[in-house]
Amino acid sequence: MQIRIVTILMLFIGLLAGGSVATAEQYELTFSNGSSWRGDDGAMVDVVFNEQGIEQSITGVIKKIDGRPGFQIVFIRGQIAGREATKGIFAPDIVSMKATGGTNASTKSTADATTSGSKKSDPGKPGGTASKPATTTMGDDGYLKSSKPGVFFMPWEGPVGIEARHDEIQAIIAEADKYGPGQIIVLQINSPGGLVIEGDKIHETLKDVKQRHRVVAWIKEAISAAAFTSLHCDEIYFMKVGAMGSAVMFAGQTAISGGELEAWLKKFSEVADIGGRDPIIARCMVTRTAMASYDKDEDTGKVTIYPDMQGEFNLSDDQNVLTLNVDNAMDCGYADGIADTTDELAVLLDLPEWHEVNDSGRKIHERWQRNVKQCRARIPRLQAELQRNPEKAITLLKELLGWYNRCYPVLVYEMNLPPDPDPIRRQIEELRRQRALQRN
Amino acid sequence: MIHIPLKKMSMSLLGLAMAGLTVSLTGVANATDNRVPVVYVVPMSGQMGTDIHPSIYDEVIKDALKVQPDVIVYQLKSADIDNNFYLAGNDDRREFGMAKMGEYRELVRALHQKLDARQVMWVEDSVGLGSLLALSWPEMYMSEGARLWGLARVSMMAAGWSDPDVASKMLNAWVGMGNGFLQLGGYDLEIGWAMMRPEYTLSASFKGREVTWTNNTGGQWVVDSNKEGVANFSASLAEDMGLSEGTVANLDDLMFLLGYREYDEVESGKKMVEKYVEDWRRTFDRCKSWYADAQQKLGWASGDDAIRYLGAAKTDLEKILRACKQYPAVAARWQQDYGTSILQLELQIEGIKDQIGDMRRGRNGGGRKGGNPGRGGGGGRGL
Repeated sequence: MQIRIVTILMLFIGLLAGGSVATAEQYELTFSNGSSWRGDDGAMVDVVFNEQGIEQSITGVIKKIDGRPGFQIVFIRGQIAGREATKGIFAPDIVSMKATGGTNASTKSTADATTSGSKKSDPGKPGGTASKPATTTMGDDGYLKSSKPGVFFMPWEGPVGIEARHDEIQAIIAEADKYGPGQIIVLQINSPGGLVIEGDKIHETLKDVKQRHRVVAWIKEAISAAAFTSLHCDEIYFMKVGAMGSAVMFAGQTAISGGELEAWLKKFSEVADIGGRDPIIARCMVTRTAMASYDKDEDTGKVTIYPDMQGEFNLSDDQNVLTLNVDNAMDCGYADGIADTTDELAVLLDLPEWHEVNDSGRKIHERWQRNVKQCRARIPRLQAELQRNPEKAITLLKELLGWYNRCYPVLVYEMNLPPDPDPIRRQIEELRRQRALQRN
Repeated sequence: MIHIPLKKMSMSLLGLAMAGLTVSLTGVANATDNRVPVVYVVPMSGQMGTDIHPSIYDEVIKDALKVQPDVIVYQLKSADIDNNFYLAGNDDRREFGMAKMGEYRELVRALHQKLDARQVMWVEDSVGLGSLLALSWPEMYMSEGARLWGLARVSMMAAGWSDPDVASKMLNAWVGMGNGFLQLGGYDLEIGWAMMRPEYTLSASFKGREVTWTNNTGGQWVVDSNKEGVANFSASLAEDMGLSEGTVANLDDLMFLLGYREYDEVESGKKMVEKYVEDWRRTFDRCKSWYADAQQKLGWASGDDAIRYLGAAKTDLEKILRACKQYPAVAARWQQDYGTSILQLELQIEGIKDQIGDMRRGRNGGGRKGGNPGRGGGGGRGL
């Protein structure tokens, strides 16, 4: 209901804003390739459009086309993520649009409108039509303001502590902080787990940020430390392929036990609790012998969870560590919804449409991933060059020291180089001394 | 489209007749727009991770978006065992599907999200990780004699851990990821557990059209009572249990069951995939030959001909490197069969270059006044 009110409000604002490009009943869209589409509101259309680089489609009724030529927004009411909703699509993002002969058979569709490229147009580039960008201004309170409600989105992918780090989470939080409290931070999680020490840092940071922002986990794969990270979040949404759990902590080949296990169980339960989720289920992700089952009230949907197998629905017996998928995560209430696309996620987040306040999250992610990739490619070469060209050892070792600053986790946790680079510094000094002696 | 009458029978004459009756009604409804539906067949044949690789399907997606078919049919034929597509002998381990769950997940997600036509999975045969693809689409048909087997591979990926908690962590993580495919296809978790974990049994109970799956033998129909082997489905069992919508002999059959009495098949996707498979496999065969050549030349690289043969070996390795970069499938198989990554190949080539450089400097150095004294001719440096 809330979404509908927001949608209606948006439409109302859109109507007030005016800027109609045709008569009250009829619209004309002109696309960058010269083709055009003409039709009435109420026309039933199939629209294929690009969003976030992904081609999507919607069939629905045109409610309104708004904006000045080149910057039109087509509002279509249809099924989005299984719900009736209105979607605003920027004309430059439309790949094709054609009448379906639904409610308005007299639609004057003159041509399939096809934009010249499949990617979103860049307003700065000639030839492309541009969507109306959201504007950012400085508010009286000293915080930045975005003209459209949106999210701070960041992919968080790869092994925790190596590719998926605390540092990037902190960076996106810092970005959100510039806009004041109450921002939505979406972490798209795709990680097989990783380092415990990274989990500790993430724990402190997320516990803190939840006080001022809404933190959302959008799960493709959240195993082990990534499940731990996800559990902190205010909301958890699954992709249909999503999996979350299996957070047994181990060293070498052996799972932790005794006091260590108790402490880890306690912490995991606490994290589930601060995320508003039942700790009984969380404990099943941590140790094989913890159990969980539940009953579900048919009328109210209320879930009662048991730390044993007395419930009607089994989640985890005493032989298995728990990994949740969409079905059981939704049914037991651990997941708040299912979204495979950003549009679907926007609906679940009660946003009128998917909008990223800025691309800082993607950039933060890409920057670190690029750094990791470069490090993985360079260090083996550097080691080979060290062997082949000992006369260049000082230069190469200095470069290696530089990589300690740039990409420490890859060097230490993945390539098993010593955690402390100090011996490398000493080696450089020693080489310098030897060469000085040789010169003398 | 009404499938239900077909579910409980194989394609007997009676079944065909009934299907025809059912389908013809749908066909009449569809015929009003006077347009023959377009079907776009996408083969998924051969080894998972090479023949079936996202790189080619990215191209297929682009092509399908241009074609804008009414129906997309994924024709899956990928069996790790009893498969003689490319080799005379069966069960060549090198041809087993590669354990690249994340890659396959991205592939099915891309196909689901980027293509908006009706999508149908047609399993001609599937043993191994291909069965995850099979179960990623809710509308699935199988060929007569087709297998939907081999998801024990998923739990095998977690093998090798002795600590029971760690072993369970790994197992349930992999199985959870595997079940993600089934969830995308709308199949119950219980089916996935039984198909991936040997110790799980499987039975089903029917209440009208609704099937309830349980991991015990208490249901009306016991599918798998063996606690030491995973559940596998033949075409007939899959149809009986409602996993498969029907059993078909060919594309005509399939289209008929989908409700189309006539259709146009666009073959561009099929040709793209077939050409890709042929190309990468031919290139991989060439790589094997180039590698053997390189090894031979490296063996000859001594004395006066050292530089010449090192250079020739380097050229051979560079060809392999180019092939690996052009075809991720070649890179994957090179890594699997020869244990060498692209990076290692590059390092090997750089090593040879250095060696040649050293030799040249060593040979020329003596003749140059005040020049580089050389570094000993490089004879002591290995690859």
